[in-house]
Amino acid sequence: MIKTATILLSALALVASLPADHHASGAASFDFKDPKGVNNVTFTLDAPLESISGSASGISGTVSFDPMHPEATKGTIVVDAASLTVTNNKMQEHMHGDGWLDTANHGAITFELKEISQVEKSGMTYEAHAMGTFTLKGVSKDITVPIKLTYLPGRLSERLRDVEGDLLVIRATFSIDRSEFGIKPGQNTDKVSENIELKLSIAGASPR
Amino acid sequence: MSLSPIFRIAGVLTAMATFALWAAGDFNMGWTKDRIEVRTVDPILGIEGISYEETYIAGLEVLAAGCLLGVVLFTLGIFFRRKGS
Repeated sequence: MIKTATILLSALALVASLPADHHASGAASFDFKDPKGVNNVTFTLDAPLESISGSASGISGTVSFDPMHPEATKGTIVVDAASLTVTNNKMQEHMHGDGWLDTANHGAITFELKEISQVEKSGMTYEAHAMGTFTLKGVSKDITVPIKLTYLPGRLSERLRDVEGDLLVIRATFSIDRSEFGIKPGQNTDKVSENIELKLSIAGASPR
Repeated sequence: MSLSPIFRIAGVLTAMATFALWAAGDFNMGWTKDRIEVRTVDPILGIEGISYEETYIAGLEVLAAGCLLGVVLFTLGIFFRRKGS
């Protein structure tokens, strides 16, 4: 009887000593709303008569990442379409207008990460192919993009004082065709390229 | 007083002022810029953060419009001189 009680108490003590946070399960949830506003997506449209470039900083979303099982990475990254900025006011007005991105009615540009494959690990950096659904102006398409994940365990306190946790940096460069998302297909191609090159540089935080 | 020299001088000054405004923007070969990108690298993340600084840099369309206005004013000056003589 005493022996059984001792075993039970030991088991309870062992359970109680396990870390209570989500890291115990391996996968951690990273929040990509950066309080310092560093996260950004840049876009470049290189047409024969005009080159347009700009960026968006309104990034949010969460990604679940386990450094031991990077192939299980999942999540959603959201870009606030209204945060898309170019250096010319008139051009920006046109870009946000209903003729082009119609940001008043389609306020979010999203990438829902469903699957990661061909993972190559090098230290704390993982290069892989991310498959997911890209939604722009209300049109969703499944795409595969090459991504680079950099896991920075225990480095969150270096960015946010007194906050312990991990950081996850995601970088990706890929192209989309605006005509596939119903953005003036086949129109103004001499000045506004159909091919849009996107460069994603974002970091998420997972406090403990 | 004849309007001719006034228009001609105004034409030349308009073109020169426009050129100076455009040149002050480091001979910007693109459209007018209402803001410029400022990039700062985050030392922890290695990510280049992008912010914007409000400013005005005249573009080629401003140069073209200013020069065109200058030519129009100068031509009007010639037109008034011929009419006066």
